Amino acid sequence: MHKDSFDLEFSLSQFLNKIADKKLVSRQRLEEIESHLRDEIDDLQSHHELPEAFNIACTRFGSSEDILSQYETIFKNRRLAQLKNFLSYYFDGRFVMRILTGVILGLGFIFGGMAIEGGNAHSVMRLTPFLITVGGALAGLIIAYPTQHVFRSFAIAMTGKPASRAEYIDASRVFKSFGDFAVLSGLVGVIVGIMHVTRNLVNPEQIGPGVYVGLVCIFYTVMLKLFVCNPMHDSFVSKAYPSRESREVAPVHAKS
Amino acid sequence: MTLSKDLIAATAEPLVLSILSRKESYGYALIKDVFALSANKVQWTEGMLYPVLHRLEEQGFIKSVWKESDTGRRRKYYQIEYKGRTRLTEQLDQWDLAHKMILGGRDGAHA
Repeated sequence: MHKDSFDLEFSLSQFLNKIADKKLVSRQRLEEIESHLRDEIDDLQSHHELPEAFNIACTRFGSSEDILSQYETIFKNRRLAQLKNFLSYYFDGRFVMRILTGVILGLGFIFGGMAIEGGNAHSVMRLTPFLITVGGALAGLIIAYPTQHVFRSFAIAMTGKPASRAEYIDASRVFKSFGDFAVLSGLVGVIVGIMHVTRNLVNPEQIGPGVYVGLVCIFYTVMLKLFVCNPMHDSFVSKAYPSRESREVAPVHAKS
Repeated sequence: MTLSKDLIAATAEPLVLSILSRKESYGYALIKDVFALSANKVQWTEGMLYPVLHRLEEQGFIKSVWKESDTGRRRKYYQIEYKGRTRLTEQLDQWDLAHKMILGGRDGAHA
């Protein structure tokens, strides 16, 4: 009989295999195509013989090349969208990631520049100036704001967890002050260094190291303000007062 | 009369959403529904429908669930999401406006 010479399962799997050969279509989508074809063949069989129904269904669905080109565009778009999502998540979603990237890049350029000039990283790795600058600024913060406030701001900055608008505003203030205090305490470092020098003017060997500590203080101050305080302040401000565009973009990574 | 290629493409998304807003459905049934809704004038092709479905799903307007039909065949059913309903309302308003504009232009009415 005519019907026996046609093997639906075999023909169907051949058709599907052609699509599956390219790795563009996931198994789930392939299964969807298969169930679609089977539905259509069932319906067509009320008017047509099985082989004919199969051919009509496949023609209607489009040649395997057509389907592939369709999926190819979806696939490409999806890859692009994934990349875009990742980038926007990376750069908008996580402060800590952004800070790391920024700090590493910034330090890389600065120390790279110093290396070219013949200096070395060791020359600025001094504990005293660091303590004076960062310690002084932190002390200023503790005096200026409730301690809880300070901790919360640093927590938001480190984890990048979404916070309320009021919290963003508070955090932006904290980091603004942090930067200002860092400048002042850096200045204290310079003054201490110069005081040290003036007391020992008779001893020329002490002049160099004294001025040097002061300069390194300024170095830490500028680094702190440049890489931490100002960027954090700015990004908290933009979180608290989002511009029109960023408000529209925001839901992208707010997936449930 | 049938729809131009541009209009078929433009109506695809709101049509899928409007059909799904009433009941969940699967690809093959959607094509049949559209055929019936258009009084047998608009025949969608699969090559057009599935990309639309998958795009809507990726955008979160609809979601899909694998289910077993009465005949025991596994089918991928699509269901509308809350976000999709909002989208449908927006699009209905837009089509309504477009429709009014065209009629208003001809009849000289002011919107």
